[in-house]
Amino acid sequence: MPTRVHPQAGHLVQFYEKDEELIGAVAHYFAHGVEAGGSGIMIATPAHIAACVDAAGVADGSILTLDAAETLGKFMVGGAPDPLAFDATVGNLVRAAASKGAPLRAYGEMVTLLWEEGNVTGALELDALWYDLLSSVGFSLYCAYSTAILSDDQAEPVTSVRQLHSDIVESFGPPSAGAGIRLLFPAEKDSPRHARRVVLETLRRWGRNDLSDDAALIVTELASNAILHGRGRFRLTISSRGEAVRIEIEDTSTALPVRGAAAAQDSNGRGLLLVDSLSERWGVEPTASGKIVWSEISGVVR
Amino acid sequence: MTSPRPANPGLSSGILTEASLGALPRGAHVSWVVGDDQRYADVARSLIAQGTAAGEKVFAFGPSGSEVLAALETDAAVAMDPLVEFLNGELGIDAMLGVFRDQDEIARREGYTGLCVVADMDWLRAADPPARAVVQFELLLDRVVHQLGATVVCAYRASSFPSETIRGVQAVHPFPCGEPAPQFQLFDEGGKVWRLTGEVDLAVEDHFAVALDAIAQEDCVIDVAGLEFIDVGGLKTLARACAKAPLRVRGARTSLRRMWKLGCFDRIAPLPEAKSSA
Repeated sequence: MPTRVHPQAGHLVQFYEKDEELIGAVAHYFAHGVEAGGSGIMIATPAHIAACVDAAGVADGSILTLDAAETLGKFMVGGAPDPLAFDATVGNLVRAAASKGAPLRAYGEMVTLLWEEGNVTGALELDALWYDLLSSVGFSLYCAYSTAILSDDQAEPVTSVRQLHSDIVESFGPPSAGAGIRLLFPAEKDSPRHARRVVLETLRRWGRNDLSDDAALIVTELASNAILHGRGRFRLTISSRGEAVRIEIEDTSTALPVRGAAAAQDSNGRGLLLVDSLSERWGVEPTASGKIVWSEISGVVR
Repeated sequence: MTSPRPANPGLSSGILTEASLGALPRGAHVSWVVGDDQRYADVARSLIAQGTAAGEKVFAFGPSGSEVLAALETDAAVAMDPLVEFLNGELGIDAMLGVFRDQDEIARREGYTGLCVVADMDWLRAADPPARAVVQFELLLDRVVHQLGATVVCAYRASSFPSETIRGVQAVHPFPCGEPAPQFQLFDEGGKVWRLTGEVDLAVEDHFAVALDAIAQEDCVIDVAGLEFIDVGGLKTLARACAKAPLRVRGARTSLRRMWKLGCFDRIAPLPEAKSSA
């Protein structure tokens, strides 16, 4: 894994509800880039490609377009992305485009396609491969997740797509205020492990490996409680708040967690005892359909 | 330092691909999740040939009446249904371990270098053991196999055994092969030491409990240097096992020690740490 990130690398992850929101945002992303003399690579569904290219109104050939499903087929082996094949296909394309000298902007839907298929492990592995590529080649990568993969009858609408009028390329390193990831996980025993992966990967990108051990424990305990005591899927949000990182697990059970001597006898109580010990601060917020249990850690030695 | 497995100076454990069954290190204890009969027959033949070439006395196990087993009769030194031949229809774990020891002694007297067993584990089905019994059997077998330097391949057909059993056995072999790859592994390291690696959480809590229960019968040490993650539930299971038998833990990382304290497990018992032998 590369330990230094290319200075020109940038990553933007967003969630969108309606296709029109996405099309508008992606079109703007590419138009902006081409206007500044750059080039683009778009790996998406045919429908999105057609709509975005049309909306961006850029000259033919300035954006290289690829069918996402077809491209996936070139490097997925048995449900997992083969790193060498990924590098030989996507890697080569990106390096070739970036070597022309003009800033390259890439937009990809393959990770979300895998997630939508239910192949969470494959999605996370592909995400990690993109990150490695991004770290070694200077380009900007925009990934969009449909809230369809987050859809839940009772869920509140996801925070709307960020405004694109401001600088849309975020750099790695300390995350800008409010940067974060929000993902929905199925009600399965494997989910705490997947949530752990997402948290560890995010911390790695933010250069906050100092928080890895604590974060892994906290997210596992909160996610496990949601699976065991909640009624369905849970939503993980990990976000940065200055020096602190905030982890939230939202589920649809209104049973409030209890911490206390008596509760310490069972796993639930003991888990929260641990969350309390490891967190800078933590709490519970009731929501319309359930609750959010949150924890903030900052690496400050207590 | 515990001594490495006999006759296998390289790899002491690892997740195997099916291709590597074509050149199996001697002394390996493999659990192989197999899809179909033809695949099993082909690979079994290769395994038998490898054992024979290494001077081992090769046993082919399988359920009575199995055509596949009958077909292997000419290749292996002995082809049989152990449930019928040795165990009188019941999975007596001690009896089975005794069989391995006895047969190893006989084989060496006969001039062989040791034992090789290629087992179609369908032979177990007639005894209908629960998953926990199979896991316990395999764990204790691992210790014996290691002591004897025997090469043993246990082939579990995905169609014959519940996924609970398959996942359970994959976790307790040093050389698991096939899907699903285990999330944690617990296996014999020699000298009353068991090695625990991987990640223990909700996904494997039951398998972990069954495995620990199987080894918490006597004074021994669990090496956790390779344990990448364990959650509170897993620690609770570990604490219970440590309370039940004189289990000690070796190689605990700082984070595990911290968790033990913060999770108040030290109110049950202090983390029973073994002195690290260099």
